[in-house]
Amino acid sequence: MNVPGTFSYPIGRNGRPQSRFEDCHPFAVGMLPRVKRMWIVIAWLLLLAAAGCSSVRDGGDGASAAATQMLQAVAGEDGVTACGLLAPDTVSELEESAGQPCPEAILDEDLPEPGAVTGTTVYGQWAQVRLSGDTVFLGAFPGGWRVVAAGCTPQGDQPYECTLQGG
Amino acid sequence: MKRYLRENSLGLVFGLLFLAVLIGQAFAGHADFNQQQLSEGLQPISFWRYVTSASFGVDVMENWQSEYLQFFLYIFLTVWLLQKGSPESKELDKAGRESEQEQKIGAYADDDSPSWARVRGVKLWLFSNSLGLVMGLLFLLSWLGQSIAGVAAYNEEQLGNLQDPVSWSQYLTEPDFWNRTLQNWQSELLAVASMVILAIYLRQRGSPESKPVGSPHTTTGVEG
Repeated sequence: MNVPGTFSYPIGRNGRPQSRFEDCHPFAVGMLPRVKRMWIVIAWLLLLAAAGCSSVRDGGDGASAAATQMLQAVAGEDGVTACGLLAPDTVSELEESAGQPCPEAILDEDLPEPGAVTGTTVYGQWAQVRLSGDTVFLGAFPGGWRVVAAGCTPQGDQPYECTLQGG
Repeated sequence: MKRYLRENSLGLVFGLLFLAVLIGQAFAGHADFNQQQLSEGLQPISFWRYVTSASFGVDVMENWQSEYLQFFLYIFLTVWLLQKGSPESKELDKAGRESEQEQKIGAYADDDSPSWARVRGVKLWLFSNSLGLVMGLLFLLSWLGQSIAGVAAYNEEQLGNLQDPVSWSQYLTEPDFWNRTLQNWQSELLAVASMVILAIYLRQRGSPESKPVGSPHTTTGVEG
């Protein structure tokens, strides 16, 4: 007898309850009870949305360290270290516009003294480090964060105007 | 097993097609993303990094939310709205929620009717509206997912353009969010309108989405 709200497996010839196909095939999501299917879909949607959230905090410390290190190297007249922390396109652009190797050219750029980090934002492959007196934009590379643009000043809704900038 | 496959072929085939196309989208999107990376002077990223990125997330979510909106509106509005001659519409004298007898509710339920169709109160209301409610909920969740993944993808572009990122609430007022949303909505609504109208005059023999081949154009609410 079927009692409303309950389920019982049919009894096979061997006298034991017969399991259903979905009990043997756990990946048969389509046959799970409707409520379970809904929660699985909702969990998947939230997981995909969380992919966006996770990019905000990842790598923030690395980006701010790279920005600070680059500015400190320039302030300390260490052009080689500073250039090692620049993105390849920024190095190329700097050498082309200055007409001299990067370690010398970067010391002639009018970059501000490194101030305290007031905020770091990371989204995907890009980061923005705000310091007192400067804003630096960095890109993610296999070897870590590299400075794409520095000595940047805000221009309202327009892109920042930067002293040092890649092509 | 053969019987199971035959009786569930529609859901299984569309489920597999969805997975295959989603994987294809992931590969195409990965290639496109890396082209942009190179043009911005950055390095390509791995496939796994891409499919867990906000860029992939928003591209998936913006399509899912519009599909669920389409089904929510279609399921809900066809309760009341009619289209003469279309198999997508109910018969012209059947507008509305229909009687309990027609819907097999309560005393009119069969022995094998779902249990919540036989009771009264909240359970009956929930079950009577479960299809629309779930589609509506999935639409809202995936639209929320689009906005969350979207603001992250948008801000990644902002930083790449040497511009400030925006907050989630600011992003909801950005053209990028509404451009993604509305371009998807228009295509879904066009699809429903096309199907409703074309099915008046065209036929597909054997499909439940079509009228029988010999049905007059004026016949409403019949399946092939």
